[in-house]
Formats: sequence, C-alpha cells, structure tokens
Amino acid sequence: MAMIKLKINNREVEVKKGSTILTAAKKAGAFIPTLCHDERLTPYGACRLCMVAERKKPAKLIPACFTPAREGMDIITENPEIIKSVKKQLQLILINHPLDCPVCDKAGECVLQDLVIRYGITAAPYKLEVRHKRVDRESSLIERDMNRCILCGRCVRICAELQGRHEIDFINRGIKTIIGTDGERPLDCDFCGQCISTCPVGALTDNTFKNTTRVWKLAKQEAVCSQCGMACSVDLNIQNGKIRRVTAPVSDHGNIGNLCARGRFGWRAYEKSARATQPQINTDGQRKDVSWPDALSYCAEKLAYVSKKYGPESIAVLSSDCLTTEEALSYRAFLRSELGIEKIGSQTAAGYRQVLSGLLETHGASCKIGSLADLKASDIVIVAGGGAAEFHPVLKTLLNSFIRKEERELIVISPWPDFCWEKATLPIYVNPEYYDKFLLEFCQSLEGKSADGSCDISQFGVPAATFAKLVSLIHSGREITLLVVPQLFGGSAALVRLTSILHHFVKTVIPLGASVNSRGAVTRAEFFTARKAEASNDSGNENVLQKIKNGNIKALYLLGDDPLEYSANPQEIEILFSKLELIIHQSPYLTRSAKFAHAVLPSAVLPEKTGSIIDMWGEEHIIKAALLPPPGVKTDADILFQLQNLWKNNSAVVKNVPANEIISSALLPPARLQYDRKQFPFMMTAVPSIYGDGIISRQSPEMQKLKGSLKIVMNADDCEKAGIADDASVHICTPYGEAKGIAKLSVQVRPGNILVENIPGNAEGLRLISEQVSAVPANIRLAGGES
Amino acid sequence: MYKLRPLLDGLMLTLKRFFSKPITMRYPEEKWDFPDRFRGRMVLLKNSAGATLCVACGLCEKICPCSCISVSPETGSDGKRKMARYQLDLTRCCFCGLCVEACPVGAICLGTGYEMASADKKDLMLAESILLEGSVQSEGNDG
Ligand code: SF4
Ligand code: SF4
Ligand code: SF4
Ligand code: FES
Repeated sequence: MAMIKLKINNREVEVKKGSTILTAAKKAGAFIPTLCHDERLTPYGACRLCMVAERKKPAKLIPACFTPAREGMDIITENPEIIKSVKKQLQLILINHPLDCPVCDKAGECVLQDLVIRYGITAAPYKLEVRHKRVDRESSLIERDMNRCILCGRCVRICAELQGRHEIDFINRGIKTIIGTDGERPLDCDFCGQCISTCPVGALTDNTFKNTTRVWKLAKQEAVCSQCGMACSVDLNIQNGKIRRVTAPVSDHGNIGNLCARGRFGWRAYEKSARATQPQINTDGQRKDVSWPDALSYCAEKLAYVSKKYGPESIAVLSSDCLTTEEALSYRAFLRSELGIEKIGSQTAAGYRQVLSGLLETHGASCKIGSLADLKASDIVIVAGGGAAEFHPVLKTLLNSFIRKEERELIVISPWPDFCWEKATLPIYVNPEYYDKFLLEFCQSLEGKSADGSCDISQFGVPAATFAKLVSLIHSGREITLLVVPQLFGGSAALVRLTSILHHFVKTVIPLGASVNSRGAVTRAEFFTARKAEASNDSGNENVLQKIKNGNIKALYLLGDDPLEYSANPQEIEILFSKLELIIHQSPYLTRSAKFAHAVLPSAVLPEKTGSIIDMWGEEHIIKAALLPPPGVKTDADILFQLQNLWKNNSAVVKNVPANEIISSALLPPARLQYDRKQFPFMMTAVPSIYGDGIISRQSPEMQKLKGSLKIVMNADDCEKAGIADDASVHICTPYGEAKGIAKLSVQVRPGNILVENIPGNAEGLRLISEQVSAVPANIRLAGGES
Repeated sequence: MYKLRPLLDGLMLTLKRFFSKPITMRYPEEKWDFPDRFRGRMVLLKNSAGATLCVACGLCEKICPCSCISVSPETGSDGKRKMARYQLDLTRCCFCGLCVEACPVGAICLGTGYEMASADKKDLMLAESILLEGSVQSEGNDG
C-alpha cells in the first residue's frame, strides 16, 4: 500500500493512500468534530461539521471526513473561519432538536451534547416552530424518537451497508423528513441494534436500558459474547454488579463494534432470575435442595460406583462448549485419568464438531482451518450450507463488507434462501430433498469420478450453467475461503465429505455453527481426538445418544449441554434418561434435563469466569470475570476442584463393587419409517434462528419474545392454495411427529418447501425432525381444521 | 466608692433592659421568620397538577459534593422518564445547594425545615415521600 505524507496542524503524518483527511488528523492527534461519520461506514458528508482548511486558503473549508488526503497537504483544523462555521452549523441543528437531555438516555455520551458544550453554544438565534414528530414506542427493544433525530443518516447506512437489512430509511421530504419504516409500522428486523450503536444522539435508544440509570454511572467491563462461536468483543455496562446494557467496543478484532441481537439485548440470560442457584439431588424420586458438599459427594460417590460397576465406557459426557479452555483442559484431564473417558461430546455444537472432526481425520494436523484475516484476504468465499448468518449474525457485516470490494465472489450453496444466499454473487439453490445427494454428486464431479459436471444436475434444481460456473470458479486458482455450515441437527455426512474434498481446492476452511469455545475445546483441550482407526463421523457425541439407546451408557454427565432440548425425538430420550443410573446436570440453567437429573449443579456463565477461550476464527481471548456469580453458584473450575478432592476419598470407599458386564440391549431399534410420499407433499427443513438457538439465547426473555413459538415459513402461493393466512396457527406433521406453530408467508421460499424455525428447546418441534437427513417430508394444515 | 461603681453600672444595665422588648424566643412555641434565601432541608417540588417535577436525570446526584443523593428513574405509563426513588442522606448533606443549581427542571429547592434532630439515624435518610411532603407548588417552572 502506497503511503502519503501530509501535515496536520504542522505535525507530519503518514497515511495510506486513499485515506481521508479525518483519518490523518486522528493519527496526528488533532480533534475534528464529526456527527455523521462512523468508522464502520463509508464516508457520507452530511453534517458539515468536520470542516478543515488548507493553510494557503484558510477561508476555503473542506469536509475532512469526505476528502481524501493528498501528498503534501498542509491542513489546519482550527481557525476563526472554521470555528464560526462549526458554531453556525450546530446552531442550525439545534433549531430542530428538543433540549430534553434530562429525560434522554443518551445524555452523557451524546455527540451533539458534547459538541454544543465544547463550542459553547449558549444562544439560539434561529427560531422556528418545532413540529412534533413521531415517537415509536411499539417496536420491541428499540425506541425511535424522531424529534431528537438530526438526520445524519448513520442508522440508515449501517442497516443497509453493514447489516444488509434496509429496514429503515428516510421518509417524507423537507422539514417533514424522518427516519422510518415503510408505512410507519413498528420495526420487524434483525434487532441487531447496530442503528442504536451508531446514532450520535438519543433518537434511537435501547429499550432494555431505557430509564434504568444514567450512562455516567456505568462501568464498562471488557468481555466476550458467549452466545455463539464468533465470540464478539463486548463491553458489559455494569452498575453495582448488575449488567445494565451491552455495548460493543471498537477494537482491532474483526467485529469492529458490531453485535447482533443476542449479543446486545440477550444479557438478561446472565441475570439471577434466569439461573439455577441451588444444588439439588434426587434420591428415590425425591428432589431436595442440598448443600454443595453434599451434592458433590453424592456425585463423586455415584460416579465412582457406576464406573466400578460398569467400566469407564458406561459414562458419557456432553458439553455445550461454554467452558473456558483452562476448565476444558482440566475436565478432560480428570475424566481421562480418573474415569477413563476418552471423548467429551456436544449436542449444541454437534454440527461444528462433525465437520471439524471430518477434516482432522482426513487431513490431520495439516488441515487448513482458517482465521478471520484469511476470510478478509480471499477473493472468493464459498458458503456450503444454509444459515451461515443465522448461526453467526455478525457474519452479515463481514460478508457485506467482503462483497463490497470489486472482483469478489460470494458463492452460496443452500437448500433455502437464507441471508447469504440472497446476497451471493453466485447463489445456488438446491432442492432440499436432494441436498445430500447433490453434495455427494458434487464431490464426485470434483474428484473427477463422474463423467462430467453437467450429469443430471438439473434434478437438484441447479441450472447446468450455474454449476459449470461454480466448478470453473473453484478451479480458477484464486484464493478461496470455504465456510461450512452444518445442518441445525446433524445429518451432515455428505457435507463432511464435500468439505474434505473441497479442502484441496481452497486456501482455508472455516467450519461454522460453533459454540463460544468449541474451537478451544477441540483443538486445545482435545475433547475428541480424531484418529483414522475410529469409525468416521465420531465427533464424540453421535455415539453418546446411540449408546444410550443401545443401553451401553449408565451415567451421563452434562456440562451445560441438554440433549432433551437439542436432538430429535426427545420423548424417546426421556424414556432412556429415566433408565440411567446417574445424570449430573451441571449448567447455569434449569433446562429440561434437570427434571431427570439425579444431581443439579448450578454453574457460572462465561462473564463470571476468568480464563481464555478460542473463537471459531482461532483467535484467543483472555477473559476476566466481570460479574460475581449469584449466591449458590460455582464456576465449573471450582466444581471440578472440589469434586476431585472428594473423588480421592470416595474411590477408595467404593472399591468392591461387583463388576457388571453391560448387556447391550438395543432398547429401540432405529425406526425405518415407511410413509406415503403423497401424504407429505412438502419438504421441511429445520433452520436456525437469527435470535439464537443456543442454550444461553434460549434463556433470554428478550430473545424468546422475538422468537415466539415454532415459526413455519412457507411459500406464499402454497399458503394461498392451502388457505393459510399469515400468522395463522397451523399444524405441521412429518413421518416422525406433529407440532403446532405459526405460519409465515414468504416469497423467497420455493414452492413445496417449508422452513421451520425455533425448533431447539421446543419439545413438539423436536419431534418433527430426524438427525439422519437434512430435510424431511411434511404436510401442513390449519389448526382446528381437517387435514 | 470606687469599688461600687462597676456594680452600679451593671445594675443600671439590667434596669434598662428591664424596660425594653425581650429578644428571647420561646422556641418550641414560637418560631423565627425565615429570610428568603434560608438554606433548610430540601424539598422536591410538584407542578400545579400535583405531579412530581423531578425526571430523575441524576444531575443533582452527580454534582452533590457529599454524594448524599441517590435517584433512580422508571418509565412512566406514557413511556416517558419519571422519578421512581429519591433518597437524600441528611447525615452527609452540607446544604450547599448545588443540587438546586444543577437541576434542569427546578424540581428541588432548599426549604425552610431545620428541625432535623432525631434519635434514630434512619430518620435522616429522607425518601422521596418525605421530600415531597408539604411540597410547595413551583411557580412558573411547571413542565
Ligand atoms: S436493529 Fe439492525 S436490522 Fe433493525 S433497523 Fe436497526 S440496524 Fe437495521
Ligand atoms: S436516528 Fe440517529 S442515526 Fe439515524 S439519522 Fe437520526 S440522528 Fe442519525
Ligand atoms: S455473532 Fe455471536 S458472538 Fe457475536 S454478538 Fe452475535 S451471538 Fe454474540
Ligand atoms: S462528519 Fe464530515 S460531514 Fe459529517
């Protein structure tokens, strides 16, 4: 990158060619007032506050945020002319701005307030009758007070440019201009709150924060968001040990100041009211509150008993990958050395682990798992699978910035029109019914096994020309980053295969769908080690449920995970659970498994822990405890420490248990379902929700409210034929089960397809799916009516 | 004689005072008039409609040099900010009146109350209910 030199207030600075004067001034440490500028966005030049002048022409003012710096410029940022102009500009803005700082939640961090004070504006020479504008208090999470808006356009631009949502825009003209939605309806969007984060005044404010305190009473604590594998940096705004809101710091890390709905508004999941705070044990059907030492010695004793009686193979561990790396390491060490357990599975991050283990297996240590920098530097991004941005919403901002540069390609192969698919330069829609088949076919054509790429690709719904373009782009020799998006509920065997084949053609592979410390748990703590000899796809958990089904497992240790809320057919698992000798439910939350658990151990959430995690890009974050755990809660590290102490005493006591051979009794043979395709004319795909499907997001009242019940998205024409209106309550049935939900019409969804959101955590919804296939046949009828 | 002189002087004074108006006030029965700028116990004001003026902007809390004010807001039924709790710790208050100066809506003023002695310290933590008691309606500053 060529550099240029210029002078700002007589100080020489060197900046990249193409940088603006504002960037140079920042580097020189000079202050320039700005209102419409946001580093995350392309310069706009609307507020005319950032005026500077060249020394030779002091009266010719130029906007610094918008003007590129030139070699040899000699800029002054303050002279009488400039100050006069800034003051005038501020006075003009104030004509239309109510002075309601006392009741405005922005006061204290309002850019306009700061500038008015800095420039000493005391008089208001211009008078105009102020028009009352709309205040939107109906939208959830975001309040829009258009009286305070200064029309800088930052919210409009961030929503369009970074979030790609285009939810809000300027409406009306002249003095009536406001920022609004079409038809002035309440917001119905991603609720990422990016618009709040950029608004320089208090026109857009956070409803969860509104009227709770004042900004100067908050202490910002650095932390990471624990609601998905992106692990975005956040600032917890804390007052008296209580989170009041979450904001995003502008950091060097990838997500410069960007957050999604979960990260910004989902913090109530960390509050005491959402949490389990009392250790309990369940003996002879009686659940009772016990002290920590009692609960732990019970666990130690029972674990020792089961392991002596049935051998180490009979204990399974499932983690939700929210442990810090240090905790993960010590759990693994304990489980391996004391109990002989080799693998720690995960249900929440099952898809991620499946893809990763596939890669590690075929390519070993040389596999090219990438980082954020790789993604940014590549020419082509291939997203294999649907729901990338729904799993990790901040990915939207990254991909939107990625494709804004010229000559870049975003290829998305998806069985449903997700966000990335709509933004792709080469969107490839695959009929969900043949999605797995298509992937296998694609593998073969890449391996050169099938005659030629064109074979009978059309049956998958993919035009031959599109496919040819895909193949040619893959072979183009440009730098490719592959993002692999697993299905919400496993069934990604074909995807795993495709990943390991595409691995040859790409620069880096990044599996998505990770929990906050999935990558740390796998790469650092080796929760599972992929060895060639083992059965493929053994990501540690597949077998757990299967083994429970086969009766091989006698004890289950849940480290934050909950198979009852995240796997197909929970009713069947419930029956299996009641047959187990020991279930330890160690989690911050009382999720459904707690009902069946023999011991409930309330553990801490990530902001209450100290340690490190590795996000899905491979970056390590050091985290410091920002909150105190509520009384009665221990961190996972503490729990293990005490458990280990008790273990030493207990394992001696439970020495002479007669060893029992486990009799593998297949309790429930895998059902081969027979059904008539005519009965199920639709294909249903379980899709992730942008408001989060993970355990933490599900505990947040705000996210839960946004998600609502089971959401059944259908093609508008299909709905019309079936007489289903938008928001109608409908029944959906598949060969596996039936559930009730709310119908949503969509023009993007292809006819014949149904997308179902919010399945995780929904017992009825989980009955609809199968973990073996990516899409299941389904039918739909109005609730109350006949089929 | 010269020894008697001071004594007589004193008696003379006493005699003079005996016929002048007494200046002693029978305190609990009788009370002072207050000068206009008397700095007594704080009072939170109400508007003519009887609603609390304070919007819980927190400026008094911020400016208070003794940190004796704590105020917390809530959202009113109209969606606007209103005061939920206001507490003033009289054991620390120095009656400087900075809170009155900082208040952007003129919701607090120094009143005339001065009888603040109490056997229980808790009585000196004044909650909003006490501060609003007998509150005068503010003139001209409504809303
Ligand atoms: S919350 Fe996000 S998606 Fe919604 S209007 Fe704001 S920026 Fe746009
Ligand atoms: S709402 Fe805020 S960000 Fe949007 S135009 Fe108005 S002042 Fe700017
Ligand atoms: S993208 Fe993931 S890590 Fe980032 S704010 Fe959203 S949920 Fe949190
Ligand atoms: S900041 Fe440059 S014009 Fe607004």
